[in-house]
Amino acid sequence: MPIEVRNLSCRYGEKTPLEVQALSDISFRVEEGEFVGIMGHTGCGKSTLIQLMAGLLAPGEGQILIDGEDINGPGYDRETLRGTLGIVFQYPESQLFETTVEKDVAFALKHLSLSKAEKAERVRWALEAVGFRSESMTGLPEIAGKSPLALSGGEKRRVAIAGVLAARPRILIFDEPLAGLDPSGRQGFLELTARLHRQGTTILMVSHDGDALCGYADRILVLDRGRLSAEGTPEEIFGDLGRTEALHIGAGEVRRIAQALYEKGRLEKPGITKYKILLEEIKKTIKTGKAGEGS
Amino acid sequence: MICQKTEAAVFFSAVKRFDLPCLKEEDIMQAVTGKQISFAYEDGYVVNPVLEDISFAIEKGEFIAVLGANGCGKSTLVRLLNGLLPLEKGQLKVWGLDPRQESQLRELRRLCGMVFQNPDNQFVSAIVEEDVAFGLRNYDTPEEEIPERVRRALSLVGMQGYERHSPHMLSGGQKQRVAVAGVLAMEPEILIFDEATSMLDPQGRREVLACLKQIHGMGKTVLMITHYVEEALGADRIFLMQGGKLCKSGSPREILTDRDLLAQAGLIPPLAVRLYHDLRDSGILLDRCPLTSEELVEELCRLK
Amino acid sequence: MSFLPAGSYREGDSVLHKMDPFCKLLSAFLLLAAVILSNTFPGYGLAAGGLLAVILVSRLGLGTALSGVKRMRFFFCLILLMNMAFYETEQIWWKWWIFRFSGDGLVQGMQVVLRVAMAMVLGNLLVSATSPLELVGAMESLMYPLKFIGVPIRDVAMILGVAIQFIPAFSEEAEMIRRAQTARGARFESRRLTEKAKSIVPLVVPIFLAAFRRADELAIAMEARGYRRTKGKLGRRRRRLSPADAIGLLLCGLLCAAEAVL
Repeated sequence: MPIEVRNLSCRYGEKTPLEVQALSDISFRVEEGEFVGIMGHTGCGKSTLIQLMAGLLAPGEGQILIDGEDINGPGYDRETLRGTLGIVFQYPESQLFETTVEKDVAFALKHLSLSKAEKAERVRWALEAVGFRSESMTGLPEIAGKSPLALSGGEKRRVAIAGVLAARPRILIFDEPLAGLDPSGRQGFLELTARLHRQGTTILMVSHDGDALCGYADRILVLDRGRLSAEGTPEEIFGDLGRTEALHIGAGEVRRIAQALYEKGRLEKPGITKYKILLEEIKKTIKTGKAGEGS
Repeated sequence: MICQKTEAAVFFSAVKRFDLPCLKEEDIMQAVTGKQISFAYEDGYVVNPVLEDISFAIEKGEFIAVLGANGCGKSTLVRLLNGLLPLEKGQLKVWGLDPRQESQLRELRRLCGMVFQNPDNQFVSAIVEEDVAFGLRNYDTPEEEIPERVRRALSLVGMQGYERHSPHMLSGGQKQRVAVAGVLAMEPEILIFDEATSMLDPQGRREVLACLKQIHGMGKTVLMITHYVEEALGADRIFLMQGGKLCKSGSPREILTDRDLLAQAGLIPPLAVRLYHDLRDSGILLDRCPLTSEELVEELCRLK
Repeated sequence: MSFLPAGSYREGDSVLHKMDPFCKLLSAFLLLAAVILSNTFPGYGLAAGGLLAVILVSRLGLGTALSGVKRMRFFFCLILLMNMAFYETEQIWWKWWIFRFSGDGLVQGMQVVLRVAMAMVLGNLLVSATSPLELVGAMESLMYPLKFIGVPIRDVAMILGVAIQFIPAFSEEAEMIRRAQTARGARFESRRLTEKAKSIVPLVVPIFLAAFRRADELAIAMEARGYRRTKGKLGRRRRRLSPADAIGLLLCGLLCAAEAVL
């Protein structure tokens, strides 16, 4: 099991008047190869949680086990964690610093014991994974030689993600990866995560986008004011829209249309959250002629 | 809401019109007109065209959504309106004023306010009321008028009571509303929202959109730059941009129901439109293409 | 963020907090002059006594007042050693190569350390009891005479104000960049000096870029709101002096005069 979080608590600004309980007593597990979405109102502790999991903050209480080992335990080697778990922050393009895209992507490989050829191969793989195709079979994509500063916003974002992918982490954490992306950028990113997920990568994704998480996540964790307020499949979380509202999260447009149609008797199946299923169910209802009976 | 609207009406009727001598209110037929505007960035020896031959007219009081994928030139276009970028080719009139005339540029900037993308990067003061007063002080507003105008502007965006707060402590949506107040305090005629919602969470986005609708309701001309098709639904007209060109302007229904047109511009239609087309592809035809989710539900319910 | 002086301001309602910022700044300068002027033991005693009185009045506690001094202890040791080793005097304890250790040097070093430490405490008290915005306003007032020799006061005040306004958002971003690079394998904790120097690059470059980007966006936003250089008037606040302000200023002036005489 790659991740297990046990009774995790975290406070900011301890012993000052501004003390904030960012997380209190959170426990959950993430299985190998799972795609887990994390939702919650701004300031609910999502960012704190993922940074704790990446070992970038020290918890107040509780444990985070990755592959069964406590990452804050004595004698745990942080280098192992860096190779196992990758984290893509919100607006990751602000991390770019090297003179060329190739060097920037290779930054994550600096401390890994790999041969030059292996490193070059990793860089090529990572750039291709985020959608930069190379002309020849072995060569790097054209973009590799460019300065990261000369790229467009969308390209920068992809290069920054490649810079995390290059270390080939088995676990990937994304913090609001869809923020600021235009529709095709969003689509491209979601396809990338779906592909990585199919290849067996464990994915955790923080997002406000109900449609995106319903479409791709196996399970959703909901945080509310530092507590884990709900946990379940997208269908379980969004099945009852009244409850969804009480959790302070917004359902996606797909779910809302499905609900409206269900309430009007135009859909047989309650609680649809995925676009493809919604489309199929509408077709089914219309074709079986059930659509007319209700009126 | 009603109370706020009346206050808005009083506020703006009390405003003394500061007009250039040659320019009368009734002379200005359109809020903005642009003719054959082109713009290019020079990057070393390479000239990158950003805008090519754009012509348009915006009526007074219209709500225009400028829609396009990242890098289509939409932000460049609105920066030309405000004289933040120099207009090189073509003609542009904003509320009758020419951004190329140095003497008219200041008044133009007061009449045409802008709210930008990053809420953190448009504050000049660590106190909300000082920040809202910034524009007023730039325009030499008498010091004794400032507190009242700041108060009104803040209450228009629903931020009364935050005068002494630090902008840094506010939520993203609140920050953007304060930025809007900073513009409103200068009593503009045109407001430009340059991707003002793209860095906000859903809650903040709703706040800013509600604020925008209210300003439009006050009779102001509003331009909203966005790549969220859903945000463009409420506009009077949409300018669809792609690759530096204004490829089509029209009502939301004309533009957003055209799946191929949107795909060409690198955009994805609203969910209702996508469902309509996918149903049609599998042989189920609805009477008309719905635009919103509500319309879709309605259409499906009508289907026998 | 450890390398930015953000958050040093502590809210409070002590006499020091409530003092008019302009008077406070002026008093601080007078006290600073007193500290620099002090060069006899009664003089040091007087200056230290004055500072202690300010600390008591501020109700900030000795810890806050001395916090900066503690961090600089390495620097202070260095000053002490340098003075001990290089002070020109007849009575030398021990001589080796170019170093001449002497008792007089030690005394001299202690005096320098004492003065620097007192100046630091003073600065610390000032920024802890004055909000950044008030401080900028006070500096602006203090610089006002410079206007007549052509210094663009308003721009300078604007720059200071904006810079202070930017600190919270910017330090947050800098911290995020540090964490992101740590996650990508940068080793900031490394003890080896060469590695430490190299690890700075992935941190400094993005932070600079972020600062430029922010500055650029802000400049555009300011221009759009009609900002012009050096024109327009200052947002002046009317000053109301309380008896406490006058007394504070007077006492600091007296202390300064006493030091000059001693």
